[in-house]
Amino acid sequence: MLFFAGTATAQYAQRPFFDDTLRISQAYGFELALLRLEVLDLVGDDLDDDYLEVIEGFDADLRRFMGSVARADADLAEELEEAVEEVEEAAEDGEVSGEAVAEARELLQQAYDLVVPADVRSDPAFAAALIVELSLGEGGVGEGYEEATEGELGAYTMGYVSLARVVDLWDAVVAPAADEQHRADVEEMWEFLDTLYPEATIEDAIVGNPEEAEAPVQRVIGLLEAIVDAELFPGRDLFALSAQLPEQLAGYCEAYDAGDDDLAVEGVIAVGYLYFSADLASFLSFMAPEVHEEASEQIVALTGLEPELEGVEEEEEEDEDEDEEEFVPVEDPAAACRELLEALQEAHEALGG
Amino acid sequence: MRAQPVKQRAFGVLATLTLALTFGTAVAQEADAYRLYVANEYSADITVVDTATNEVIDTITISGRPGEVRPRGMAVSPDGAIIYVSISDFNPQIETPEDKIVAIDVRTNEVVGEFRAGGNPERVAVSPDGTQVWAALEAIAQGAGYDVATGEQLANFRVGVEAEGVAISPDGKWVYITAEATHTVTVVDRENLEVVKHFLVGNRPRVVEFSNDGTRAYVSAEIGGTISVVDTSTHSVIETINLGLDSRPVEIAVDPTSSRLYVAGGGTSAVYVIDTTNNEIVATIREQMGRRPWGIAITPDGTTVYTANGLSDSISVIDTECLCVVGSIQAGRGAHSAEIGVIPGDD
Repeated sequence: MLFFAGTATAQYAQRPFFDDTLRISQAYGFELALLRLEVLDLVGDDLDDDYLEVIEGFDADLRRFMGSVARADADLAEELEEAVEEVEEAAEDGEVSGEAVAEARELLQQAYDLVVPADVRSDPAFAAALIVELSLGEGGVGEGYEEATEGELGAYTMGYVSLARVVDLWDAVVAPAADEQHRADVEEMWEFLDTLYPEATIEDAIVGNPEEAEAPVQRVIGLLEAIVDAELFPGRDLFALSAQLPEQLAGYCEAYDAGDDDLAVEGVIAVGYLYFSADLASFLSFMAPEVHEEASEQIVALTGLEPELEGVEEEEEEDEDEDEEEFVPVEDPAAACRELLEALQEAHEALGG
Repeated sequence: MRAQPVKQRAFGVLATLTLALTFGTAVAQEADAYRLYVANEYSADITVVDTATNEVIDTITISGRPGEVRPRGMAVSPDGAIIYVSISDFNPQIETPEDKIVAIDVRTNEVVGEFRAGGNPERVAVSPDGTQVWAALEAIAQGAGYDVATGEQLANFRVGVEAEGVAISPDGKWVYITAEATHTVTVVDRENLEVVKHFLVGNRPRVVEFSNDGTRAYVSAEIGGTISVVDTSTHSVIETINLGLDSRPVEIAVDPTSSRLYVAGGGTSAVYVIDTTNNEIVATIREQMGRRPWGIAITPDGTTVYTANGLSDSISVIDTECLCVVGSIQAGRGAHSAEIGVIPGDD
């Protein structure tokens, strides 16, 4: 079973999604958690179910980095978990306090500095990769607008704060590296995106093209690639991606074997998220469904990640209650990791590796 | 545009048109006897241009609800009388009556037939004999074929995720359907109505076009920044042409001699000209180009290329001799795709 195709030879000098996979995933988790607090600041106590869904995202965000925080500073990790839990509970009770939000933000920021140091975050290619995640990923600018057309008002506000954040990242880290024309082109796209997100909250679903925000975001990412000389579409070359994922995962499986589950799960989340977000999952679900089934089953079991694959019809409606169940890690993660590794190696072989 | 007639009558008209193909071919011999059609996604209409004068001679309204209903891909019948337009709403999750392909008689601008096409039909192709229409159904990952005379769906097949481009080989044997998210092309044997192969191309394939002799197919990959060259005898990629990672190629126009490809580079507001004898880029046209060229078409005499420019709502006119932009024509909002057909004879 081989699907090898001639691949592009042109390349950018840096590949942050391949070379810094774990730290980008951790930083993305921190950014999302901080943005959720921003949403709470904007919306206050006026939280209906749409906004509670945004708050429920904390769990998945924290799984991306809490193990590393705990290893670096166990007290900080404990305080942070308590602070976020307090915010979540207050939000559910409709009694969000600005103080609790501020405390959680402060602790998150401390943890962020600890796990992903400022000098890493000030690297233009790293910042550009974060812009990609906050633009095209879950909770990002593109998704926020798309879900707003489906009436998801909380997702819209999340997209709104994500847009503000990516523009900040651009201004602070990437724009200084850009020439005049690139800067003008990117800023034109920000201006256009501002017209799609004119205010922090909306009361009704947006009528229009759900992909309206995605097109300018894609354009920005293309420009960022040229500005920072970095590959920002990790799935551009599926063969290279399929080689990269098992290589990285092998180290995390060893971490499970060594009992270092905290590090291992963060690594599997980073690898698993790339598997889903960079189209390898879509490709395999079509061309080698048995390989995809095995890989996705183990990723879900190990991490709780379960992104929808666009354009693939679900066989049956999910039970709504299922969404609310807390993630319970698999009993033998080391074995699950090895099974995932085998599936990803098969995926690479399917692509001609 | 008048209310659409009932299907039975509509497809009766189409059957008659199909029989008149010989007449249509004769018309095609006349110099400059072409019409350019540009589908405007956001103003929900079609701009019609006379290629002899480069003037807009008509605007065909597709929907009175622009911004909610959009035309995208098009195909022109061999006799030039009918344009087939993929229409959908903006919500791929829900199948609505808006998801369909309409057949419009360009002599009267009447809808003379429609094909139900659930799942956001994105692009459409008409068979060389004019008897079938094939569509890529984006939201449900399917390719589907329809009988023009009866309006019946002949077959549908699972293709890759986010189906996008569709083309039929000049000998009518193969239907190629691209899929954006899986980066694949699906090959359908049109006679036996079966899928014969799926194969991998560049990242986010958009459009596929065949060479005029049918030996090659060319697939644009928007994120890959490439054109995959396919040997149609084996349905395999034999070469990949790199246009640059920021080129964002979308539609492709094959010159009538198949010696050149013209590729709309949406990301760089450029048109890439490729020599197919060595698959090298021989020119990149940027000066005076409209912004975000998405659609592209070439006149059958090979003298003029037109691009549909989505961000500047315009059509750029390119002279293939000087490989330069020689004019610009106002289009509707969100110019998306471009097709050229012969001027139809009288009904």
